[in-house]
Amino acid sequence: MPFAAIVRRSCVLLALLVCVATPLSAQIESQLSAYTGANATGYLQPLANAFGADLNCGIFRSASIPHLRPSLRLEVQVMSVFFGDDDKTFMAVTEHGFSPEQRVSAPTVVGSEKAVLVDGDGGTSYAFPGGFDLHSFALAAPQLRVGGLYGTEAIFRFFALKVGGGDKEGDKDLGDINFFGFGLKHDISQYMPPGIPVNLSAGFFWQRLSIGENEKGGHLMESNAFSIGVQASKKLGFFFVPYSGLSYDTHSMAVSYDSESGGVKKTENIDLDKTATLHFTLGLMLNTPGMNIFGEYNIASQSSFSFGVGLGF
Amino acid sequence: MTAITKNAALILLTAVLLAGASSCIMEDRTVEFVVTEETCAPFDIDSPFTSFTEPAFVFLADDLNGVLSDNDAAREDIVTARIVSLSYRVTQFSHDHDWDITGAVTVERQDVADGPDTLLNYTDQSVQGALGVKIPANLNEDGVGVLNRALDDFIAGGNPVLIFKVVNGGVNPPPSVSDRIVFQWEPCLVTHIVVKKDIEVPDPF
Repeated sequence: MPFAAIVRRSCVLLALLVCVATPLSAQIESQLSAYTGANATGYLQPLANAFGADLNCGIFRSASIPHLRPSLRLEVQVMSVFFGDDDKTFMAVTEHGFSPEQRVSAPTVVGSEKAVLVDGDGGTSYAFPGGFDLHSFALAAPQLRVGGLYGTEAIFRFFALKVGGGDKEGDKDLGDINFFGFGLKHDISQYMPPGIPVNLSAGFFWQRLSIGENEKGGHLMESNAFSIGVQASKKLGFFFVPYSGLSYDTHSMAVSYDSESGGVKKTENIDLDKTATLHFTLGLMLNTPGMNIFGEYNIASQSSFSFGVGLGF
Repeated sequence: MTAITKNAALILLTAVLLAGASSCIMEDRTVEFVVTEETCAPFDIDSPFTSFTEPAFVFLADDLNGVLSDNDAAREDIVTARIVSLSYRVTQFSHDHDWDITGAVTVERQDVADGPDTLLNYTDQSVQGALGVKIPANLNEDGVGVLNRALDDFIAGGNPVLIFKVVNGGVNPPPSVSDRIVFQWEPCLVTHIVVKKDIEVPDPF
């Protein structure tokens, strides 16, 4: 395969990972149409939690920041979570006038593909939709670091794409995907007494990811993430930089979809549960002139891992 | 090997790895979706008598085929279809006084011998009180059985036609030729259709 084709395919792959939610979006809306309110929140919450965990990892790495040397690095990383058994089911409530009202353990969006049926009065039955049986949820993000002024570094994430629904008749045009993040990191070890064996820095990062537009001008999905914390690292030998971090992360997500509950079509707007968690990072960076590779594991309310590559100086 | 050459080689290796991994990101799934369908059968009541019977026909295959088409599904994709609930409401009524009606709604098949069986009973139901209000019905298992067998026949390739009948037995105060009972009402049936679909989802790890 020609190199240019490999690069094009890689870019497509990265775009695919970044908008990994979008091939799911159209399918998820079909599933959600049978749910309203609390059921829709319970169905989607594991995916929202995974989104937040992915967005809030892979941001900070080495705590060492040049003081009076310009630095510029373009990075690409993959962030992912694994789903546990707790993420696969939720307590759903029967709707649409079903009698008697029942609470049932039903699949979430990442749970079993099989629908769950319960029996009611007079020979009636109620069906809860299946999920997509996901084992993991990954995002990829391009990231730009610009720094070197008095130990301060700016970090940017940006991605924009217009997503069509595909070639099939009736496929939905999901609209624009907009992803933007901005943060600052500052070397605090410069203020410490000499002799501290590690580099220390502190920083924050804010991100917003929005997908599509509904009939009322809002987004089909909007996600906001924020992280603030401290990092420590130490260079071992020529290339190895183990690093660690402790941060406080928040994430919120709002979803808009069309529901046919009770036979009446209407737009449902749900705000998923906001998450706030402490977040501990352990990672290792391989730092060569002009390029670095890293891998890290993150321990939080939803644990995640991240790896990637950066090019620059 | 210069640093630039080494970096280019690493970029190429990374790109190849990413390119090679693209086919591993998407996984096949057969997911069971639930389509919620509400079917209403309108009845026009205009009678001078306490007892009256009014039929309404529902061509089930036409209704369900339309629902499946709207959801990009076909009859062979159906896993199961079942009755969830029924409600009724008066949609049009204008009179100088109210009526309380008592009776039943039955259901039977026109295409095969099944029914008639009682689907629901109503007792001293105020016509004015049901205007624009969805009233949940207590369903009778025999009548629901007729409907569920019709759904099963549709899944098997049949073309069931349902006849709903209002069989009214009591009106208070009694109507007359000069004071006819006139209103429109509709029972609405909610059905869950479980449909399986083969899709690709991103599940890279």
